[in-house]
This record gives sequence, structure tokens and C-alpha cells, in this order.
Amino acid sequence: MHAWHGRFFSRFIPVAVAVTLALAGCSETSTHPDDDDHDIVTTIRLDVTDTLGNAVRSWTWEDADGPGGAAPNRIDTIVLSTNAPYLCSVHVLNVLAEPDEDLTPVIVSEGIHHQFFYASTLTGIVVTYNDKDANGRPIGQRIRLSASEAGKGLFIIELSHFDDAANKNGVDPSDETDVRVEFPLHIQ
Amino acid sequence: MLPILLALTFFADPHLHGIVRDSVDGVALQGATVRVVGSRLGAITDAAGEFHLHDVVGDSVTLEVSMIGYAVKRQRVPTEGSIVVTVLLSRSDVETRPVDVTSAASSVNAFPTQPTRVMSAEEIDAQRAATLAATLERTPGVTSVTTGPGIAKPMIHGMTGTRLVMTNAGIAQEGQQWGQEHGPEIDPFVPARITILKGPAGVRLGPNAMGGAISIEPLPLSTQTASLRGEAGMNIFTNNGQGALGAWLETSRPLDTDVALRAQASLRKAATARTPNYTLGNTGFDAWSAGASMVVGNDTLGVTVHGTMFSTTLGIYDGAHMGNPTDLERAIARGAPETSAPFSYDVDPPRQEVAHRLLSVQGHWQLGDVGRLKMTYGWQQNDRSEFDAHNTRIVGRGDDPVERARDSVARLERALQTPAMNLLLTTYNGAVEMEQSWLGGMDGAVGVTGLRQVNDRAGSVYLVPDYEAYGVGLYAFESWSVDRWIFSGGLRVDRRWLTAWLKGRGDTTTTVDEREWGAISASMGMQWMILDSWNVLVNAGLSWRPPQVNELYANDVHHGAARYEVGDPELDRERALGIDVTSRHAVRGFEAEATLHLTHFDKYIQAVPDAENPTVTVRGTFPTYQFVQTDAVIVGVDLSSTLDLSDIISLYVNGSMVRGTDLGRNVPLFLMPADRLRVGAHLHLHDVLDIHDVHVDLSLLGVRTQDRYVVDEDYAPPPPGYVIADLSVGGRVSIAGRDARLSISIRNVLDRPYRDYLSQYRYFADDPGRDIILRFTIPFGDL
Repeated sequence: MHAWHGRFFSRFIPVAVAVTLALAGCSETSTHPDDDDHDIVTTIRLDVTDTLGNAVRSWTWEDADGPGGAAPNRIDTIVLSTNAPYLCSVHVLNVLAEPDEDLTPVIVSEGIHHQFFYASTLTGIVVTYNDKDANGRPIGQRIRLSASEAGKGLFIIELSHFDDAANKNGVDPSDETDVRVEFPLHIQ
Repeated sequence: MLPILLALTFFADPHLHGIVRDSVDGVALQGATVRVVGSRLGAITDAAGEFHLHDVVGDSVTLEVSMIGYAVKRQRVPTEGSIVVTVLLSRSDVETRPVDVTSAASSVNAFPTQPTRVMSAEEIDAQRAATLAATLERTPGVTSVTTGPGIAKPMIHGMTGTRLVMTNAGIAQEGQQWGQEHGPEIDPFVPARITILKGPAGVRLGPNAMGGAISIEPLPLSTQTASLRGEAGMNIFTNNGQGALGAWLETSRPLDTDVALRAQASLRKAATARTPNYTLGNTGFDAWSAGASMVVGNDTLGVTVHGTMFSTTLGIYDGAHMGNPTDLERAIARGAPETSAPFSYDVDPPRQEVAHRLLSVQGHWQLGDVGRLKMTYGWQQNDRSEFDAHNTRIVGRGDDPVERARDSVARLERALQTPAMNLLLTTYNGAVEMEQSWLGGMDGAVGVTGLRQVNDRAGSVYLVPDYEAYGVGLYAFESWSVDRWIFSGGLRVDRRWLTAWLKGRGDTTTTVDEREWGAISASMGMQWMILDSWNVLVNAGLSWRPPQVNELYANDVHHGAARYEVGDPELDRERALGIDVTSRHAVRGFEAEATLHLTHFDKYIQAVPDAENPTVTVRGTFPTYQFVQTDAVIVGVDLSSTLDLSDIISLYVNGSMVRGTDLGRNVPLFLMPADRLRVGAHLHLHDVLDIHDVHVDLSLLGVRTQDRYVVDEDYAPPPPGYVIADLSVGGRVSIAGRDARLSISIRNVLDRPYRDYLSQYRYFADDPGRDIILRFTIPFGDL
């Protein structure tokens, strides 16, 4: 064969071998965990008592497989009456974790970075905040709720996250909504 | 492609007469563009390869000679003096480097009939911006899709991402392409020559090269003559307090061996960007890169090894981080950020950390008259991590309260270091190509390529799965120059195989999905030199791309777009037929070029809203976007022209228009660039005191509002049109015998607030305001 072959391979092959060896140490697998430790929210539960502290009921909104995939598997209808005011607490859970995790205490302890907001399509629903963060602004995990008119509509619960606690003024939601769920609401 | 050899003869009047020839066979080259750098004087060579330039001012000028299929050549020539003519002629011959080993690596110019633009290293130097895409923006028809000042994706004729191919050192750059927030991970400081090809390039570059190609070729290293030289550059951008340093050093024939080496490094650090009225929080970024090249051998037989590492940390504007669509609507209604952030170099979550490592080995072997054999091996790894701002809500696990508290701290620390999404994409490329030249002006090549790609996903975001892909391609192309014509044609077959491992959020089992696609790419073109001053290019090309993995399998909220994206595993390949016609005209004092292009897509893949099925999540209701296929068409025109008013002043205009239509629904395509036009005046003063080639360039860029959009398919209508003014002053100064380049450019001189439709932040914030850019470059070592 031609002498060029020898020269060509004597140069190309060692380089190719060196490169291949150098790359053999490089993994094709990410060093990060496949499913990370971040807590996602799957479930919102509203616990309601009367003003004396007697349990009335709990209602749940749940998307057990997290965002996407299957549609939410459980959306309860909240049934309340116009008679008396109620004391409510909202709970934020992750049922994808084993066992289930209650994220509520973390939200309350980081109260200066969080606030719950409530809204309804019905008239006559009045919500007042029953808790305060370290800066004296409401968190809204505990509220007082009263209804003055019967009807059927929606009850909307939102949780705003404030990266910068200084942006939390107790009135306006942030642009980082962690939770926004709609419960059907029936006032008798 | 070998550089052009330039032979010049001089007359007593300020008239420059020259001939452009091929350096190897000495054939006169017809249709080469000759320009006097900085003056807008220019000519096209005639059938004998000759050109004439009249009224050339100054004692010397720099000529830039370019021709499709050849490397751009810059050469300084004297314009007066009749006694020394012969001497200068021989010197210019010696100065030409007749053999550049790596210039054979040119990967885009395989078709001599397509509209291309080559940016020389000096031009790149003068236009250098924070991103590679922004560096290319002055080319008509090229725009960029931006996500803040640090992230930009180039777009050619309304096609971006996976409809373009970027090659780096001979291999196609492979990074994540599915998001508008995924810019190509290429350092704008790399010492290279950039070729922008507009139009389909599928025959040469395989699937995805539908809209065009951008080729980044490291500057040629030569083993011909011993030398040691380098260059250092510095850029300062006042808008975001950005500083950048870059340097390279090369040595040829060290210890009298057939070797040339180059090392290169750069560093960049930027703080938050400032719009005229407020600061965009968390838009700082930093980047570094390092690379080395080695050439062993000569033009007959040699190997080039090129390796680069690029690493960047990019802040994502904190006002763009939305929880749900209601948040976005609130931000749009407010019209400006809630608070103007302090100017800061800190980068907090949300942020991206991306590293790209690339290695290419290219071998060539001239087999006498039979042809030239080229082999390419490429390895690259793209490691992308995206960090969410919502990582801090962590619950301790365990029965005992102390254990729980400890666990919660440990998990919080872990979570802060763990990206919400990490994607590790590894790609191997191999290619063997045989180039032949025959008598009678025929040139061509046949080749075979192979590819293996592996993607590993980690984290809590389910937009792309783990996958492995293989591809093979077989191609041939040929061109024929005869008299005033050049004809070209090519054909390619490709096949792609994909295996994806699908596992959704909460799934315990993984399902395997296998797909396969194949298609033919083809091209035909011609260049016709109708007159010495007028030539026309006509091209038609068939190209295709396989669906991207996110288009097949996405099933999650795409936070960058505040929408829920659902893929369709049954998607077919997308095909396109592109046709373009370019006319170039150059006479003394006037030059014009226009390109008309039309691309018809069969099964264009796009995400369209599925209004019936919004996705209800615990964060609220998101509009569902489904990836679907439709027929579509993109038509447009690019235009550029210059007119010399006098020896020192010229006016120029360039612009582009693009119209995209979804033929299935008969509505405009999403995110097409708005019509734009730049008009400017260029003043070239030659020598002022000790500064050479002094130039002043003032231009106005006008962009119309994009009025072609589908109402209710975007969160807000496109922003209004705008006009901004740019100013640039520069020249060359001699420092310690070195020819240093210095320029000051001001972008958006009048500090006008505006928003571009192609900016991802258009919903909630203005584009950056006035930016004063200082660029300084100095060569060192042997000249």
C-alpha cells in the first residue's frame, strides 16, 4: 500500500485513541437525583369549626398525582349556612410524599413570605384574618368567615409567595402564586 | 476552500486595478466582491477576475475580498506611488498564506449558489455583544429571540431553535433547543470566522437545517511558517456594568515541528440590566470559556483537534417568574415591575447554570488527483440546570422532633443546591467525506455521517424525558462553473431512531417508546452573472427535521411561557421546501442586494391552545397547549443597499420582512419577527492625527409593531413599534508598533423605552436602555 497510509494512521489513530480514552471518564448520567426533594402541593384542606370551637366539617381539594397527568381527583363542595360565623383553618399537604406531609407549619413559620387570599363569586361572604406574621401582617392560615345570603357559587383560596418580605403589604397578592384552587360553595 | 490570491497593479491616478485569482490553480475568479473597508467603495470582479476601483482616497486602503465558497480576505494595499509598484506586488504575494490547513474545514459553503454572509474575525470584533446571536443581528433577515440581556437565540427568516443548525469547529452544536430561554452555548469571544447561510442547508448539514445555518469556524492555524502571536481584547458595556476579557495565543512550528497550537480564554461578568425607567432584578450573569486547538501535519495530510469549555450562570428576571396565568395578567396590567431592583452583580434563583464541553477531531488527506478525504469526530456534552425560586418550603421527616428539625435543615440545604431540572445531553458525531475536483470547473463531495445522542433528565420538571437517539446520513453534492454560470445540486438520505423512557410525576413505572423517521433532502441552485455588475442566485431546497422530544412527550407547566404543554408521540417529521432568489448589483458608488424567500412546510409542528381543555392544577388553571402539525408557509424579503454620497460619506439601508401563515387554520404563525429597517450614514475619514481608518456610523433602527397575530392566543398583543438610534465611532491606533483597534458604540443613544416582540420579557418589562460599549483589541507577537 501507499506510504501515506502509514503516516496518516500514525497521526490520526493516536489522536483518536487519546480522545476516546479521555472521554471514557465522562459519564452520560446526570449527577443530580432523578426525583428531587422539592415539596409540591397536592392537597388543600379547609377545616371549619363554629365560634365555640366545635368541629363542623373538613373539605378537600386534591390532585393526588401533582400538576398535570390526571385531573384533580377530589374537589369537595363546601356547604355552610347563613346562621353563624365560622372559624376556618386552611391546610396545605403533599400526599405524594410517603407518609403524607403537612406543609402548613412551614408556611406559618415563614409567615412573612406568605399570605392566603380568599374570594367568592357569591355576595355576602365576609372573610377576616385571624392571625399575624412577625411583621404584624396577616398570614390568613386562620380566618373568620360569615355568609349573609344563600346561594351557590365558588370559594377561591390563593396562597401568594413573597420572595422579598418587604413586598408583602397585607392587601395585595404577589406575582408568585403557589396555590390557587376553586371550591364549589353552597350557602344554605 | 483555499484563500484568494490577490494580484494588484497600480496606475498613477487614484484608481485601483486588480485581479482576483484562486491561490492554487491561478484561475481568475469571477463574481468576487471587492470592498474598500470603511468607505463603501466596492466592485464585483468580471469574467477575467479583474476589478477597478476609482477615486480611492488615502495613501493606503484595506481591501476586503469575499466570494461564496472562499474565505474572506482582508489586505492592506497602497494607493499611490508608481516606483514601488513592483515591490509591493511581490510583497503582497508573499504575505498571502497560500496554505491554511484548517480552512478546509468550511462546512457551510458547500453550495456556491446560496446567499451567505461571512463575518471576518475583525467584523465580529467590531460587532461583539454579550451573546453570539446579538453579534449577528446586523445581517438582514437575521434577528434574535431574547430572554433578557444574557440569553439570545438567533433566528433566520422567522425560523429558530430546531429549524436552524449551528456548527462549531465542524460539528453541529447540540444543546437543549426546545425553550425560548435556551440560547446556544457558544462564547462570542471565540477567535473565529462566522458564516451565515440563509436558506435550506439540509443536504450538507442534515436534519434541522431548514431556515439556514450558522457556522463558527476557529481561525485557521497554519504549520507553514514559524510564528508566535496572539490577541487580547476587552469589552465594557455600561448598561449592565458588564466587563469581558478575551485572549488567544498561537504558535506555529514550535521546535521546527509540523505543529501549530492555539490556546484561548475569556471571562465575562454582568450585573442587572437597566431600562430607561427601572432596573430588571436578577438579570446579571457571568460566563467563562477556555479552549485549545492543535494542528499537526500540512495541507496534504493533517489532523486538527479543537476543544472548548463554556460555562455560564444566568439570572432570570425575577419579575418574569410567575406562579400562574393570573400572576402574568396582573404583571401585564401593571405594565412595569412592582419595584425597581437595585443594581447588583448577584445572581439568585431563578437562574440557569449551563456548561458546554465540545471536542472535535478533524483529519484530512489529499489523495493526489483522486480527491480529498476528510474525517470528523465530535463529542459534546451540554449540562443544563435550571433552579426554581420556590425551593425553600421543606418539611422535616422522622418521628422524633429533633430528628425532624435536623432533617428539615439538611433537606433545605440539599434543595437549594438541587436544580428543579437538570438535563445532561451527550452527543457523538462522526463523518467521512470525500471531496473531488474535476477539470471543467466541477467540484463536489460524497459523505456519510453518524450520530448518537443521550439525554438524562433529573429533577421535578417533566418537559423532556430520558432518551437515546441514533442517526445516519448519506449525501452527495456537486457544483459546476461554466462561463457566467455556476450550477449546484445535491441529494441526501437520513434516518433517525429515538428511544424514550417515559416516567411522569408520581409514576412508579417507566414506559419505553420507540420512534423512527427518515427523509430525503435535496437542493438545486444556480448563480448567473448577468452583467459584470449584476448577478442573480436562485435556489430550491428540500429539508426536514424529526419532531423534538418535548413536542412528542412534554407533559408539564412550561413556566417560561406560563402554559401547560402536552406533547403528541404520534407526530410525524416536518418537511419544508424552500425557494429563494437573490439579486446583487454593484456599480461605482452603489451596491444593492435583495433576497426573496418562500418556505412551504408540510406538517409544521407548533403548539396551539386547546381552549376546551384547560389544565387545572393546585396553582390555578393554565391554558393547555397541544403540539400539532399543520401546513404552513413563510415568505419574506431581505434588503440591503449602500450609496456613496462622496468619498467619505455613504448612506446605507437594510431591512427585512417576514410573513408566516398557518395554512390549516389560516391564521398568522406565532412569534414571527416584526418588519424592520435600518438606515444609516457612514463617515470614513481615513487618518485623523495618529488614528487610522477613523469611522463614524450613525443609524436608526425602526421596527414596526407585529400586527399579524391571533387575538386571544397570547397573553398580550404584540408591543408597539419603535425607533432607536445607534452610534459608533472607531479606528485603529498604533501602540508600541501594534495595530490596536478601538471603538465606542452607543446602543439606543436616546435612551428610549421600547419592547421588542421577540423579547420574552415583553409582557412585563421594557428592553434595556442606553448602552455604551467600549471595545479594544490589540495583537501581539510576530506580525
